[in-house]
Amino acid sequence: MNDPIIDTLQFLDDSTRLHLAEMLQLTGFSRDELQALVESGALEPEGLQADAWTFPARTALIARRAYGLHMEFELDTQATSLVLGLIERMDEMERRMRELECQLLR
Amino acid sequence: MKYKDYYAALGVERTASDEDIKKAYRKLARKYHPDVSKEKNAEEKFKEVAEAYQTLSDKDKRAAYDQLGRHRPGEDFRPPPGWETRYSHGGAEGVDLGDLFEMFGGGGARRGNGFGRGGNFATPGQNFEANTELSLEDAARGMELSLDLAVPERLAGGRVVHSQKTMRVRVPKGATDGQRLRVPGKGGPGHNGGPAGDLFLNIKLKPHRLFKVAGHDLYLELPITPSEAVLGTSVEVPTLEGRVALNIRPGAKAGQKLRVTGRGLARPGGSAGDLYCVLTIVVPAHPGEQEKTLYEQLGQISGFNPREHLA
Repeated sequence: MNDPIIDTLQFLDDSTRLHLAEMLQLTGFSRDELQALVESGALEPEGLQADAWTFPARTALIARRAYGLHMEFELDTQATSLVLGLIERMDEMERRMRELECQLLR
Repeated sequence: MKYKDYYAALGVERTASDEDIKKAYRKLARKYHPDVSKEKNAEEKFKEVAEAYQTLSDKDKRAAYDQLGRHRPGEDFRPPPGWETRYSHGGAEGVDLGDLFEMFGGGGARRGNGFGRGGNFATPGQNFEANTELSLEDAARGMELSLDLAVPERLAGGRVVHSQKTMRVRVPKGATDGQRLRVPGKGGPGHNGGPAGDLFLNIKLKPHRLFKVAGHDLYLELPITPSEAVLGTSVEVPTLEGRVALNIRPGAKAGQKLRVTGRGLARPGGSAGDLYCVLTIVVPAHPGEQEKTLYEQLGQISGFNPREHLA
């Protein structure tokens, strides 16, 4: 018999917001590391208290990539915070580049 | 078991110091890290380098690895007598060398996925990743997919094997190129009461004959004639949901974008991107005699000088 079809797929973009626990699981950061990134301004959650924070899922994907670099290159929080900002800028530039490429005529 | 030359992967001698191994790894990680590299096969190369470093950066693992002796990369080999009893309690036959060292000494922590961690504390299960390529039409409508995943399983004794698992998922409309979707709880099982991992699905869109994709917006190159550009016209353009009429005002320019609102890809949540028609003005490759005559007449009577600003 076929396995039942899974229809609980969740878009990881700005349409989905994640709570702190989900953010920690998705990115790999510890609670302290994530709090330090929020304090540095690299992550800007909605909500006042940490337990009420929510993050756009797109931010979680960026943070997940930053976590990879944080681990591979043993980056401290400040460098990780910088990396987060650079990844975000790089993504935005790549998005803009794709948009402009679409407008190029053959 | 197939041999992997971890020293060669890092480009160091077998006698390299810990510091040299770290330096070589850092350099290669910088070169091939999927988040910063534009190299071909960066992800694959990075995995090789990371696997080599995971073993060679750990004193005990490196010693065990060295005792396997030297073989050609990819060569089938058997560990020396006593090696399996000492280092691989689950047996080494048919096991991937990387998996073997991953589980070495009760399991190292492979980052971020909670797989192979030792100890008695609750840890989440491994996250699974799957890639899929969709046509633009399928992404627009949403579709059902069958995903074949190579799922690692830890057997009694710590041995890791990969088994094939098929999952059927329904991708809702709203996906676009480069998008990631998560299926909570469909990764590996948690350990010691930890939650199950998640399945991540990476979407890639196949190139389309007519439309280019940027986010949820679509772009269509729309050719018009010089006379249509001067006088304006009404044309029918294709969209993902049938054809629509589009008015082009007199005085149209090449590269001009005309927006057809809401005719792009559906977004999650109900709205949709837009379709942009990018005008291109094309001339006949082989104009007829009468056409040439009329263009000559037009050239003589027109006072239009497009290079006025260059004078």
